[in-house]
Amino acid sequence: MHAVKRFTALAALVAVALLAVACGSSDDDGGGASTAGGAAAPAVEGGRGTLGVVAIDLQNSFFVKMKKAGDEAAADYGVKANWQSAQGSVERQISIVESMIRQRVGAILVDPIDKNALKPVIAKATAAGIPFISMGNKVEGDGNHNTLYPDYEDMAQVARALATSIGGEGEVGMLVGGRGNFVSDTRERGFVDTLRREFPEIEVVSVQPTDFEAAKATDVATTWATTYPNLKGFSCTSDYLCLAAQSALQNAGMQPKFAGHDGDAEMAPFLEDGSMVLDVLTGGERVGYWNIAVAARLAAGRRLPTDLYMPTYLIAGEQNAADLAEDGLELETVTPARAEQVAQDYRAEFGPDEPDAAMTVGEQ
Amino acid sequence: MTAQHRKTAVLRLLGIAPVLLLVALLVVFGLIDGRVVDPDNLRNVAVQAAPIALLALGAHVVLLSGGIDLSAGFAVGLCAVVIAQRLTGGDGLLVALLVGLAVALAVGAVNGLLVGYAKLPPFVATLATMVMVQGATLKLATSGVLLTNDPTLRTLGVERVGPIPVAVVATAVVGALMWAAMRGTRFGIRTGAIGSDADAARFSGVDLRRQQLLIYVVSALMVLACAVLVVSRTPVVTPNVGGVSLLLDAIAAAVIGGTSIFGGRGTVGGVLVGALIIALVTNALRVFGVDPSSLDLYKGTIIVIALLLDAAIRIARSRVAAGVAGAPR
Repeated sequence: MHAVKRFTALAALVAVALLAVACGSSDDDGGGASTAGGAAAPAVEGGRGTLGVVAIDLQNSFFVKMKKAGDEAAADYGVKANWQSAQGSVERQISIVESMIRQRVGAILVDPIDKNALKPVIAKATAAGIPFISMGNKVEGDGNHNTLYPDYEDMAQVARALATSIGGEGEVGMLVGGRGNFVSDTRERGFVDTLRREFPEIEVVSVQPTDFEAAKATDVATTWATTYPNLKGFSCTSDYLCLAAQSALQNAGMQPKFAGHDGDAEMAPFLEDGSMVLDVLTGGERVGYWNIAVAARLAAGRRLPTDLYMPTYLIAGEQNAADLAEDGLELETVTPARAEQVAQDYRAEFGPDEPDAAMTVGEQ
Repeated sequence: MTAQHRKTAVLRLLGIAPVLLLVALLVVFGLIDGRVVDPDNLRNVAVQAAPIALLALGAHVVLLSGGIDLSAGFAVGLCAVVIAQRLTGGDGLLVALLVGLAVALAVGAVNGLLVGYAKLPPFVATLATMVMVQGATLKLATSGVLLTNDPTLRTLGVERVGPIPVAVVATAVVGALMWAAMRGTRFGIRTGAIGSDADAARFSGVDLRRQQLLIYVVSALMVLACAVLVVSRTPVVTPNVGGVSLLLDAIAAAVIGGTSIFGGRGTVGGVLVGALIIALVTNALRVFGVDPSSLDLYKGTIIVIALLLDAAIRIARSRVAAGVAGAPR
């Protein structure tokens, strides 16, 4: 019996220790957190040398990649990155930001769930002299910066490429992350608006949310296989959703063309063989490194434009690019190999030795 | 036919309430859009119900004992990531499954020890392990996306035995084993006894601590089975697989299938039918082309209506049963 009690106590201790490692020490946000280098740290560590980053959901694979390269950027710039997950909750996101302001971190980066809800805490942060960066979603706040990329325009090009590749007619589907997510919504609008405006013979038969889960993308695709057997193409707001759907549709004996976003390296074989018409390189790692680089520079007192734009690249296989051009759609694309090189070369693009001007390509 | 015979017949009919509910939904959805009841689509529904069913079987065992396992959804993600990592790292399927089993058993053991031996309320204990499991998954999943390509897993997730998908056959086999375990073993009888009256169970010689430990370990085994099925169906593994949405689907399936959230009552067959109902509702809304903004609202509303119907059927059943018991013989 004593052995059992000792074992129970030990198990409880291990559980608490693991909990501490997983979440950082106690804080009012409750979100998962970690710092660069992977050591356990207070959930909101204070001090000007610390950057607070609030992601919507750190479980999302894009944020996993962002964090990985963001931690590298933090190390390169000599700061600490304290990553927090809002777990999809606006209230939690605001609570974490307020906590970061109290701890007087060097800069705060937030992927806004609701940009209007953030305005009061943006005002608090700027009043406290803490640079505030809204990632991927422009907030007309009081003194904040915005790190942006042209999602709408890029997805419009995705729509044009997909539509052109299927002859400008037929049924098309789309997998989105989830309604209410700014990036997902913007990409959806860019794709659907363009098809409706420029390709009247194409019918968007199904726009399905996946909660950013590959398994749900699989479920949707298997349902498409029976309900839309004539589906000629589909697109996704994130590449891994396309991967899951493509696999499910192939298993069902269908091979529709598809196009996506993010520029994941895993898409290269599909771009090369032509089944994937077009991809857009933002790159999770690249986005993560860039955002931390911007925040570190602002925390160090450097002056940067209010709106900063990261260059994106359209990716297509050489044959596909040629075919699209032949069909009248001239796009400036890079090959999958070149895209992979750009995606991995974020240090050269945004590293500490680069000038401040390298942080933006100018207004788009 | 006497009044008592009629009441007994009604009682039997009400005893299969979840099946009646499934049939009613099929009829209604089929009338709205015939594609829902197309045989190929119904096969999709069965496949999509399989992971929900496996996780719901684990939830059923825990709920039957009067507990709850909030960590199960995220534990699916952890096991899936661990298995996928081993496979992409070059290990064979057996090694990957053994590592996945070790992780699942560890999560189950921690839950069981916290609930059974440390006497923490299941809600609190499994909420803590849920956060722990989330954190562990994030620590492990550094690459974001893992691609698996194991032929055996592919057979499980994609192939068919005749017209029936292997995933459905496998789930049915697991369901049958669970049914046998819950009906014919001391584990099943004691689990139900704890949920009905824990004190009475203890007085009759049940070691509550050991039984709680076993219950959460069994739940973890169902987590592993669910993770394997998810990986086999979707060769793209991300750290957000499973999670809250799958957990809620599983608990809803168990409850719609007749498992009481207060413990002591429920059947394996009911849980499997409950999983089919949840998958059917989700699938039908996709086929209808419901606006993505309204999808969760409609799904939640249909599940609430289903639960209310289920509750009404149960009340009717208990009234009829009381009538039968009180009838002159």
